[in-house]
Amino acid sequence: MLAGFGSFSLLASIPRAILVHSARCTLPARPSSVFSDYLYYHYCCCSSSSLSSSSHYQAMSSFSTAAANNPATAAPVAGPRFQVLHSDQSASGSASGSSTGARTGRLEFNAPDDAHPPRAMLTPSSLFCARLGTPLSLTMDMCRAEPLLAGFHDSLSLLAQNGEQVMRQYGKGIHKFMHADEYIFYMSTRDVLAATVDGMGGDKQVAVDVATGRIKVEPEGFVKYLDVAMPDMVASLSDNIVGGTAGTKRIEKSIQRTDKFLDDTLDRISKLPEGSPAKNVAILAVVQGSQDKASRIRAASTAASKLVFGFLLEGFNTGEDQLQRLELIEAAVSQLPHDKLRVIHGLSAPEHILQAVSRGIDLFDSAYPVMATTEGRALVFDFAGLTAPGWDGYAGRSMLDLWDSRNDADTNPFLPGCTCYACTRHTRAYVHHLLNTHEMLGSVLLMSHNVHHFLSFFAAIRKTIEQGTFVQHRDAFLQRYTAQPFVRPVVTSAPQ
Amino acid sequence: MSKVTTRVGTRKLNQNQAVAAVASASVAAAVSSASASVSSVAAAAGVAGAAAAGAGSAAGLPSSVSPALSFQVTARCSTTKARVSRLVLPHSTVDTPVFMPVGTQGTMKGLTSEQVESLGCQLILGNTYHLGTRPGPALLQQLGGLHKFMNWNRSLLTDSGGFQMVSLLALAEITEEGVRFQSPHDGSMLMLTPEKSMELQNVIGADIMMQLDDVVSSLISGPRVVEAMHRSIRWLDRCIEAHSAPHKQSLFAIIQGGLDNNLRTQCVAEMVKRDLPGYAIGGLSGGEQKDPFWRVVDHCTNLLPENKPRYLMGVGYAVDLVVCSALGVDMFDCVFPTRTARFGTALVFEGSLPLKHRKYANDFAPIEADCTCSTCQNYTRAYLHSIVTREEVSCHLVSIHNIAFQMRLMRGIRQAIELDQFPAFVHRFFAAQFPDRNFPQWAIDALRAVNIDLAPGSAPSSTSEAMPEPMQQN
Repeated sequence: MLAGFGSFSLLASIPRAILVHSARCTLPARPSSVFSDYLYYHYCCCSSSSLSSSSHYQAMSSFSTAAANNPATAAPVAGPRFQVLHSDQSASGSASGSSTGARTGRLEFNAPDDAHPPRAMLTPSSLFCARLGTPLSLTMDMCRAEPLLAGFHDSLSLLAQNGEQVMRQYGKGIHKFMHADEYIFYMSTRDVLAATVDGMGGDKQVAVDVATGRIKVEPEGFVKYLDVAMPDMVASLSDNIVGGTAGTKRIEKSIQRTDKFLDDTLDRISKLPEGSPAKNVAILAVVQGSQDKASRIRAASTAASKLVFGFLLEGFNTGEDQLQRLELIEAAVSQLPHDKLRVIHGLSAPEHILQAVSRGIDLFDSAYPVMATTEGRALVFDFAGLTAPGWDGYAGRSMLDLWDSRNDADTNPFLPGCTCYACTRHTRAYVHHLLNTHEMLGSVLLMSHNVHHFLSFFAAIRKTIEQGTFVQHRDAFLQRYTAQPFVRPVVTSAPQ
Repeated sequence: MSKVTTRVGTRKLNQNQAVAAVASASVAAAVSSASASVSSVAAAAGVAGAAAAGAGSAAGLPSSVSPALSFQVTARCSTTKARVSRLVLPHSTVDTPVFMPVGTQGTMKGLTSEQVESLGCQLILGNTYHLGTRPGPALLQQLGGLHKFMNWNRSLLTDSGGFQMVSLLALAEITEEGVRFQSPHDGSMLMLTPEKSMELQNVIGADIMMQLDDVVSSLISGPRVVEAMHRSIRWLDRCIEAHSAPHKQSLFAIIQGGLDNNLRTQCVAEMVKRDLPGYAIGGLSGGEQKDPFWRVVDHCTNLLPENKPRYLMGVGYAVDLVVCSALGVDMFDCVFPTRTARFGTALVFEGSLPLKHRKYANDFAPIEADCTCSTCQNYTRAYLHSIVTREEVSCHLVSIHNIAFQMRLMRGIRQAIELDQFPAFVHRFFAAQFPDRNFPQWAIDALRAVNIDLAPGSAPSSTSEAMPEPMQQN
């Protein structure tokens, strides 16, 4: 279990470091975990790939001093942490012949305050799309009607639009700003819902498109923003290639810039005063490499040596061949430590999720249910008999098209048996009417269902991993919904 | 099953006898009908109960009982013509004066039924023209009516479809038979007659239905207005004849006559003879000048029976709501609060906030400090500023506040009337809306007609009166 720790194994027996956080009061006592938690250090030296002993021991001594002075605060701190719970054992029986890298995990961040539990979620899973700090289509009370929802994934749009000034003046952080105290909030450079043009950044900054134009964001402003917005997790600024195949020079540049942004960011954070909120933000190193396997391996290996919370595999779903994609993911993951979080952007169709989970990916974006909603479609696919149990009305179809006029008098919910907000209150006929009349409530109801269905898909995946039946259900799903033998790559993710 | 048609208009009983007769007839109808729906039994029981309560209660205060509606005035302003009433409908009880938000096509700008309910709305509007087109009467019939279709369990009011037709369609011709128009879908010529409008509204199943009227722009005068007024009376009679469910749905007449008070007088006299459950004042809110507007409203409320609800169609700006409540109007509707939310405009006691304006970028107050709506409880102006006109959810959040504001305004009006402190409320409201005390002349004139002296440039005359409590939230 400690295999993934690498150079940090010697620290495994040491209790978690105390996080002294000026913006929060004393944290509740928490029993020390018996799991091999990844210890997340905020006092890090990151200019080189090796941990500087002097800074490390400096951190530890401050821990012991604090503990000695105030037993009440000596309780182990709640900070960002990820732990692998269960690794897939359903190796044999898969025609592909290999065991999967699938695993379940628990992702946990700070509690909003003493009265609330930590923001947490189980993996594999997904964070719901937000834009400008706002969930798509769903007001917060509608989000709260969905118990499976654990958090949100936004781009840097709010940073780019408002700048850190507004957030600094506000003083209460992004969670409170968007009325999402108990939710996980994650930000990435890539807007997973947009087809951004690549290469618009530069050596010193990335470019973010907002309504008022294209705004530059560089590590200095980025770190300042983290300090006032206090998101739970961010992907380090990254120079993403989104335009298909890229030449060697472009790939190399992307890797270099992304690496430099990370080093710069980690350096700035380390130099912040003790107790700065930015130190408490989980940082993901971004693994580039486009479609070149060797570059992917190299980039992943470099990232693995950094003092980061986890890794984001970028540049996927940008036109790569699907079989090649899986090889690239496998190659990158092979370089990453077992016990750290793996995130991917651009893959959110169910069959792609299953393939990526098989290769050890933990966290996905929610573009797929959002796109389904925009198309007026409700997700109805079944996985492992858990997400659409007993419903065989759709054999092979993963979505119900609410634009279809055959729904106009249908008093069934989207998916009989579904417990989401929409299915327990409304009918296909009504939503068909709402789409026809271009009423916003149509997308509200579809979105609430699609988010629910998507997240229950992940819950089902986790269950099968725990039960050792993941591979068989994965193969059955691919067989049923993609009409291709599972050994061949999936050709299309388009429904129906 | 015998169909008991309680043609209230043809009976010549005194009010108490009428009340008792109608109440027992409704109950008898409900009991004898084996397949009576729960709602009409409940309605009959509720109506009868309210009638029993009304017949002997609130000494001298006007009340009426109709087959599917009962109306009881519970308080009157001693200065103006304002009054507070209880309107009992099959699906809910409504306190008036009431503002009805508009849910045009069976939904209200992205809000769920539960959200609208939680805002305290008891009665909302649906548009017959839109619903008659999509989903259309056949589907609505099959799906059990609009309440069931949109899962809204409180009361609904539908308009006749005529207004939209005339205002939305390029080719609409009004004849004695009805409104002839070109279908926007296939270009064929269709006809909306009073009978057809009743049929559509019967299928929709709203608690209150509106007659098909010959509505003419208030900017027009002359013979056309006269013709329209007389035709509206003839169409009212056709609507009464065609209405197939008076025991479940109340048909309201619509007073026409343009800006001519003589025509209005004639129209009221004729329509009141038909003894409908309620009356609307139509043909206004079409861009006419405010001065003739209030005079027509005032004239009509003077003439209309006190024991029936008065509905002023298409009026919803805060100033208009306050003034027309003083003039004795009970019901209002307008798309304004939800429509303006789309553009990021939030309504407040002092006026409105254009949240898109950059001065709100770092304003961390809620829209309105003492508003208890979920938007004001949880979000800042700065947050809303960053998303209005950009993210769809901003529309929902501002709509929630704007509807809450309208509800709160009406509640303030009602409470002030109940405490008999309505003039002080009016003063406070106008002082907030016009801090420089540069009140619109029409409002000064209108309020003076009901004994409120809104003198510009000076403090309220009745400073000795205690100010009413800040608007309470229920």
